[in-house]
Amino acid sequence: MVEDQKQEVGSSATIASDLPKGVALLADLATNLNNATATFDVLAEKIKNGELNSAKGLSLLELKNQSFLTYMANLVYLTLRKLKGLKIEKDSSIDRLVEARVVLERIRPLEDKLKYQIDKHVKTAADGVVSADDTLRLTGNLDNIVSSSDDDEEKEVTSKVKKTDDEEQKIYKIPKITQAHYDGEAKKNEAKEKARRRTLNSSMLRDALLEHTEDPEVVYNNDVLKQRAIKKRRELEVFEEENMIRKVVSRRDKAAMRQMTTLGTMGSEILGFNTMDALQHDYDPSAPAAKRQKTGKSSKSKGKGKFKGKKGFKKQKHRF
Amino acid sequence: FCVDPKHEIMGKESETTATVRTRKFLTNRLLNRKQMVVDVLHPDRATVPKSEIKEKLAKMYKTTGDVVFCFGFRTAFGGGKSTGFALIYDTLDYAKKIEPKYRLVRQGLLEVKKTARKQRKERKNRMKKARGTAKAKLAAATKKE
Repeated sequence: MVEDQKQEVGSSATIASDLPKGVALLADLATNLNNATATFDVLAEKIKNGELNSAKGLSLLELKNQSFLTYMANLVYLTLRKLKGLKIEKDSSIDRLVEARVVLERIRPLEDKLKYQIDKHVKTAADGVVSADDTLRLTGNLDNIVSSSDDDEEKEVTSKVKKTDDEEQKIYKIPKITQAHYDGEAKKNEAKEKARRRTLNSSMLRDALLEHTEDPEVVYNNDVLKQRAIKKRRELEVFEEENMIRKVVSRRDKAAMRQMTTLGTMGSEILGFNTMDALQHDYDPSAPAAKRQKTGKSSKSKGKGKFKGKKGFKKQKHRF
Repeated sequence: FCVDPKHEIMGKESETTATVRTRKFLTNRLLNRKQMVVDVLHPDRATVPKSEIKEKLAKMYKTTGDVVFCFGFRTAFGGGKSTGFALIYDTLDYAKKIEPKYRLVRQGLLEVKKTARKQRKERKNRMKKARGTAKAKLAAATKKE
């Protein structure tokens, strides 16, 4: 009993404090309503006259308008019912309200994406300037349009046209299905190059060229067989120093390391006369090699001529 | 060409001294030694003896001469340069443990008592005549001292 009395007193106190606020709010409400009615009258006249025709406009915005209207209508209905003291439980208008609300919430992100375009359109409508440049400027900014959730909207907002499409269509590009094996276009050239190099470096040609160059003559000790022996010796040296051990070299190997080149081994290089073929342009290294090999072998076997082994070699020496 | 008696007395050491250079130096922690390839330059001179090289290396690496072992010296054709190997041990104990016997003998750290070859062969021939325990007796009797 005491508590109820207290509550009554409390409520009356709050009422007393809130009363001036309530009065002020009511006054505000009155003024706002007056303003709203004025604007509505203007709008209604415009619609009646047919000035605001939204047939060619964005359907999204149309949808937004309609959903807003339903929302407002249903809300007003419910507030009226409440003012009259009626219940609003399980009213069908609540479902309609919820639907409208959901639609509005879904529209909002889409509208955000189209904001740029809408603003541009509005601007051109307000300015009244329509030139050739504008159509390009009105094209979509691809950064803003992220997802393709609603395709209809995006088709209206056209993207840029690729300038090089026509050019690309003219050039024929081979369709790449599988890997193509690339054979020796390079290999053929390699063999040719190798043969060419070999002839150029042959002793015969080099001697011939020496007559015509003005470079100082450099004499190398490049006996063919000794190279091998020198190589072997070097390998042995490296091995011995790595492992701190002295290897026993057989007498034969020792002799080989000191061997001089004899005519019998070098003959083919000196006496082969058809070595100039490789320098020709139409030289084909894969041509019948029998011809070349034959002469090489024959020069070796023809050691029965003037230059006959050691004796022959000695003879040559004495000439000088 | 004058003969200087002083030089003759000194023996083979001539006016020019040998230069000792080391290459491929490696510290072998597993065997407690330093191993290297030794280049000796000795123009106008015969191949330098190992003892001399040993002393020179000991001076270079600040050790005594008895832990330095050099071997495998080969003179290049024409003379003037020879190449060999050298090992320098941390201590003499390690040297005695690790080095092969023949090198220790060369150094003078080990002595192998060998009976004369003839004696050994005669012993073997005598043992051929005996069989079984008699052989063993004979072996003990004529055992190396």
